[in-house]
Amino acid sequence: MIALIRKDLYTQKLSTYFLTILWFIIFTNFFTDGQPARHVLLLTIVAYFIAISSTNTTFEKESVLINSLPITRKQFILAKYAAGFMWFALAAAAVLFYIFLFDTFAPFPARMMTVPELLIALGSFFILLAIFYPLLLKAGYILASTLTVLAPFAAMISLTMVKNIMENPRMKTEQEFFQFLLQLFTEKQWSIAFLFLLVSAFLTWLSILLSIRIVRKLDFTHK
Amino acid sequence: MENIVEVRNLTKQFDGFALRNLNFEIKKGFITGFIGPNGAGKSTTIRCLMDLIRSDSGEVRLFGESHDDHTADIKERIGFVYDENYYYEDLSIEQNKRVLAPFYSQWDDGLFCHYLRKFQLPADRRVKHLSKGMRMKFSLAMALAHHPQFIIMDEPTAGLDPVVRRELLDLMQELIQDEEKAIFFSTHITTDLERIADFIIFIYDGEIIFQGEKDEFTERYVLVKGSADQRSLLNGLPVIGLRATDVGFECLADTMQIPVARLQEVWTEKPTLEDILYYTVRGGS
Repeated sequence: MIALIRKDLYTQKLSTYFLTILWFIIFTNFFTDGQPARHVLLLTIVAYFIAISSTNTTFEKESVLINSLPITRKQFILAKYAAGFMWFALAAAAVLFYIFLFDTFAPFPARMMTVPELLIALGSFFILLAIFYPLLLKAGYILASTLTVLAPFAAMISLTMVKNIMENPRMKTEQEFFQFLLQLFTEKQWSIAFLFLLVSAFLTWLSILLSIRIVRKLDFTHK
Repeated sequence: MENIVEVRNLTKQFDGFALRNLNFEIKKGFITGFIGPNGAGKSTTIRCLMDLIRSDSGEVRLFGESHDDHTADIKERIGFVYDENYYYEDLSIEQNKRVLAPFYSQWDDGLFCHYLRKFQLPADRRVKHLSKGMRMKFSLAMALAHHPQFIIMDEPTAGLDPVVRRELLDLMQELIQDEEKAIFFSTHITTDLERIADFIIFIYDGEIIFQGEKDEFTERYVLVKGSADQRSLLNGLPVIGLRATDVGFECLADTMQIPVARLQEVWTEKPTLEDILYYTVRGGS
């Protein structure tokens, strides 16, 4: 299992780390104003992008090599999910350093991510992985990555919509609802983070079971 | 003779192709050649042995164990040489080794270096910059460096120049000397088998046509030749393949089906493996 995770780390392309810079531009324009939701989304997508890049279009070919080594198919799957923690830790280090620079040097108020925010990002990241791996095994890399990468964009669009609603004087009821949500998130950060993690863990567990079931019947026939 | 591999009623169905009820054994201490034309099912069978392809039914046992319960133990004892490059092309030989060696508990770095020196492989060269022959040698070094007891090679000699091919065959014979290992290699280059194989398994269209000792195989068949007017002598005989011209004919006959006495009036000779392969595929038109 350790060898499988280490393999993912060693075979990760250097270009992937450089390409992650794109996500900093897309999600924060290289200018973070301390919005927690943006930070959570940024961390989620950076971790997810690195994770799925280690399982790229050469997945089928690599699967032949890896599954001819002394491992079980179950270990092959479990290692993919376990490696998620490694990719998340790497992404968190990069994103926190980025926010730290703004928090320290920017001439406007910015703030570091809180632990509950980190946990929510971790939960979101694993929910994406939970969708990605069964799709990858059943439908291939292109479809799996395209469908799942759309989710953070949808979240980003939703955030912008909420922001517009909050500035629209005609939408008082909606504003009250979002204010209530914001207050809830602020007051019960830990409870919400743990609840989110719990849901994420449950979905990941189901996804692992599904992936193992799929891979048990899978033929590695890359040609 | 101890069997390292036992395959019983192995069946696998694909769209337009199927392995049908394969039964064969591979014996310890010998080289077994797996022969058949392109698309006969050699690579599919090998992938079933490696558990890369799941069979629809039947049983595959290696070292007396099945992949269902002991796949990691089984693969630990197998050295697998692929039919094409599956290693990380952007990594060097040394980096590939560093990634893959930790999977094997018996990995021997000294032995790996020995093979790199023997094959004159530069450890710092990226796999994508290796020639086909060098890639094969690298694949072989990777397969042998963990002291495997069973070596499977999927068309290892395909596309290699005669010198490298000969070196590879010599190495196979060297490896088998201790009589503790078994080598199973697929090919459609029949001269390789004539040179080194002890046993032959012949597969055609997803079915095993023959399995047994190489000499028994070539002795079982006869190549029948005759002039055009002698062709009528073959009437009613179940010949395997027939090639007729205006002046004569040539065909393969299975002595298990046609007694040699019935072929006395025509010229017969011992066929090569290539003759057997050719006429089997050609059919008796």
